[in-house]
Amino acid sequence: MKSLIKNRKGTAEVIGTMLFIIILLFFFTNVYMWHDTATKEANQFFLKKINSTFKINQTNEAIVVTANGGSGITLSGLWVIDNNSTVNTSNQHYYADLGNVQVAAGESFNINFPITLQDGNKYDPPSGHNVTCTVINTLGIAESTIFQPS
Amino acid sequence: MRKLYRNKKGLSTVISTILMIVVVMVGMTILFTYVAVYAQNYQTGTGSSILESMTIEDVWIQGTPGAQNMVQLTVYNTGTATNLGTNVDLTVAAIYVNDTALTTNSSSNNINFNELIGAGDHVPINCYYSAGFQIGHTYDFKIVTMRGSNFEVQYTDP
Repeated sequence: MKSLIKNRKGTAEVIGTMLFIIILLFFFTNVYMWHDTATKEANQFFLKKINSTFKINQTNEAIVVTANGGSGITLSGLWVIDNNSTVNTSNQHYYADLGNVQVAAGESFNINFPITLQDGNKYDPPSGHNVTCTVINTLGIAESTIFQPS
Repeated sequence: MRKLYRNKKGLSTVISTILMIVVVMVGMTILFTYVAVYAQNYQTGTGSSILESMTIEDVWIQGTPGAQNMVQLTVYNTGTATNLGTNVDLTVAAIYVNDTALTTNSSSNNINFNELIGAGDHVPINCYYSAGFQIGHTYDFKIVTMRGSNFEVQYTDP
């Protein structure tokens, strides 16, 4: 036993192998930890989406957005689709940036017409045209309703 | 000194040791580089596919009835730092309608869009369907990213 301990042959190889394994483990642990964090972030995002529901409906001349989920929402944009447009032979789609307006849970936000479009022009749905309004929030949830201007 | 140069005893041992050290160092360097590059590529490539998040917010089929070949898909990359802790840009590789690849141009067969969508960006993508869209028909649009994520939406041509 004593001679075995005193024998230093091959010590460098053993230490070298251990260091090699430790460095490899560091790299793979790093990848695993990153993947674990990414999965948690993706799950959190999914939960946020579940809790950030909203509904939209027309009240008089406005689109009313109500956050009816467990947490507030941030509104990203509004799409207005005029299927009876006379601008072109096909329908027209208009986009308005809602400027990331925050709506607390249980609260409502009114989108009034005319609305300023992304290109700077104002848009008011023509009388008699039933337009489809789609509101989208920053989590990518979209809700639509038919808007009937008086 | 001359005697030392002429003495060849133990020379092969020295050379073999040096050769061994060189071979091991080169081998280890190649291996570590491979592992480091693999880890980096995984994080920025396939590994990030679980963080990709995109919504097709608008589908606009354009053209005169009977000749509706063009569709403008507006996509919104919701993979922002606010939502995911880090900005995740994505690249649209291909777009399908009812499992048929759309082309980037009406007169070409190129189906590789290679369109970069930055985090938080709303980007319109024009694509062409040679068979043409028909009013009243429902279509399944599928966007495939470079990392392999799929985003789908169903739309009825009004």
